[in-house]
Amino acid sequence: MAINQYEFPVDLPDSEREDGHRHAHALTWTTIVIAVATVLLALFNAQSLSEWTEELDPSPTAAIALDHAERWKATTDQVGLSAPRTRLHRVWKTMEAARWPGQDEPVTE
Amino acid sequence: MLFPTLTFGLFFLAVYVLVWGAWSNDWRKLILLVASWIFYGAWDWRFVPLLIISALLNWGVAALIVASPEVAGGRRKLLLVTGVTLNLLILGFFKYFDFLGEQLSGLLGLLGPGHDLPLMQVILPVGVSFFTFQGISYVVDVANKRVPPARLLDILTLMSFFPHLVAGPIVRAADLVPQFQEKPRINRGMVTMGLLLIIWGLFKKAVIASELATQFVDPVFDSPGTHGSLDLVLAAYGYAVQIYCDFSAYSDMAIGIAALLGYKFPRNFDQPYRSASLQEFWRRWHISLSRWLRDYLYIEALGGNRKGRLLTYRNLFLTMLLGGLWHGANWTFVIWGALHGGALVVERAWSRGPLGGKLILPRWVAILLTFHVVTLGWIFFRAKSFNEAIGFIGGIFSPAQDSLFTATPLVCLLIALGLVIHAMPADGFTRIATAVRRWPAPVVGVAVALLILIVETMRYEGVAPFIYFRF
Repeated sequence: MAINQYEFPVDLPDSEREDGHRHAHALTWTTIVIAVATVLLALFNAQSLSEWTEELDPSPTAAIALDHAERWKATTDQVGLSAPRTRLHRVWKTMEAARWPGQDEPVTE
Repeated sequence: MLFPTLTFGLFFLAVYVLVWGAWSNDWRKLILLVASWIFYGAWDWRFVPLLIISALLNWGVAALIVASPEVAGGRRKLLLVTGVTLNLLILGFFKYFDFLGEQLSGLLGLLGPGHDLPLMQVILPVGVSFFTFQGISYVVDVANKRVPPARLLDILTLMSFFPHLVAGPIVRAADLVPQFQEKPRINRGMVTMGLLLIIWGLFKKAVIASELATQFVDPVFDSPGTHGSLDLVLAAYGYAVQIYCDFSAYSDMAIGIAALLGYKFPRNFDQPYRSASLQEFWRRWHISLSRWLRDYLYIEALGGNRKGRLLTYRNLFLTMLLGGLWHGANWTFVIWGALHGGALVVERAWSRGPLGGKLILPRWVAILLTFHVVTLGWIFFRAKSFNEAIGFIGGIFSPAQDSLFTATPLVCLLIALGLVIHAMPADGFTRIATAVRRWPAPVVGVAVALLILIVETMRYEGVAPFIYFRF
């Protein structure tokens, strides 16, 4: 069965021409994208790492991971790297808490 | 192991490194196979053998069909029927055994006390509906010579491949096996589109669907009697948006994750709420299931539209009814399927009737009408019982006194957003990906991190399982 553009969303219109580039080049490009994104998220989103380690099943390894994650979060807090996330999260929480005029009924959770 | 979690993120990073580092295509598939079993086993290890047995069964039956001489048509047919029946038995046992037992107990109860049947409390393996349908399509396609028989490793990988394993898309052998047979190749466009779909899916699931579900839809559906008409109407719209954002998010992420590993999955959603008819809706919603039902049930098993008008209507109705039952063992799903089947029959009869060509609704009216029929169906789909759904609909027209209005501005904004995205240009992502793929890798990496960080700040604490996991 032929693969066509409508059926397969990741096939871009002129990808045939692009396929002329070496596959290895695209793989290196992809790996750099993933590596850069991973490093940046580790720097600016340490909160998520910390929350994830808190939810791990208790074990000696999990305790070590939790300890490292907490220390990493403290470091990024100290340097100010977590500030953008905290600020954006505060804006989101303000939007969540907003009510229509006269609407004071809290939302059931 | 849910896609929008750090656990999955780390799992994927490991798979990415191992898969692209594999020294042969067979080793690559073995790595994918083991990774898929680990992914599936994270829910319940006991069902990994079921997945393997199902793949072995379908591979074996297909091999026997091919090995049968052409002249032995009866034997080939018997093997085909046996293969399909065994798949349906697996699905039926895990999905419908208790349901049928309950119904039978109910009937026996009419005869008097002491006729209760013991129930087994069968646990539903995640994704069983998806991989059994995939298995059936492989056996039928081989029997009909639409695809050649595949190697065992290819079939095992096809049925276990973790991106589509638990909630689709239902990727057929014809689409994926040829890809498994060659060394996967990626290009920057494919990767960019994959990344866009992953981030877009993350936003739809973690922000829109989760926020709507936890802050509004679930509380309203749990106690419709205490909410006013406007809340109930908005909750119905909210659920329409939630289920779209939840399910299409999974498909988008599955397509994106597969793309990063070098494989192409078919589109599963195409802005369904811009449909101007039910028929169009089913061409845009859960496309892989719609096509499966059309090809293997409506046409192959029931005869499609080849046997006259009345039988066509019957076939349409039965297809949707069984499609409803596929979603779960509950009368609400049967009613949902019957509603869609009935509406499709009416639509078809109208379009072929004397007024069909003369009275044509403006497209925007047809879209609104279709959306409201679909939303009515979602009330039955979401409700735990028929009475609960009727109570919900009744509440819209005659709400209780002192009823609540709890839809916040954010909830209304998210409902509106979930509907407005259906009016976006259909090729919007293609255009963005076409531009972004020319950017240098570090710039794309920064953009990806920034977008994920924004989603992270908005996402609801914790991740609810995807709605379609229970199907």
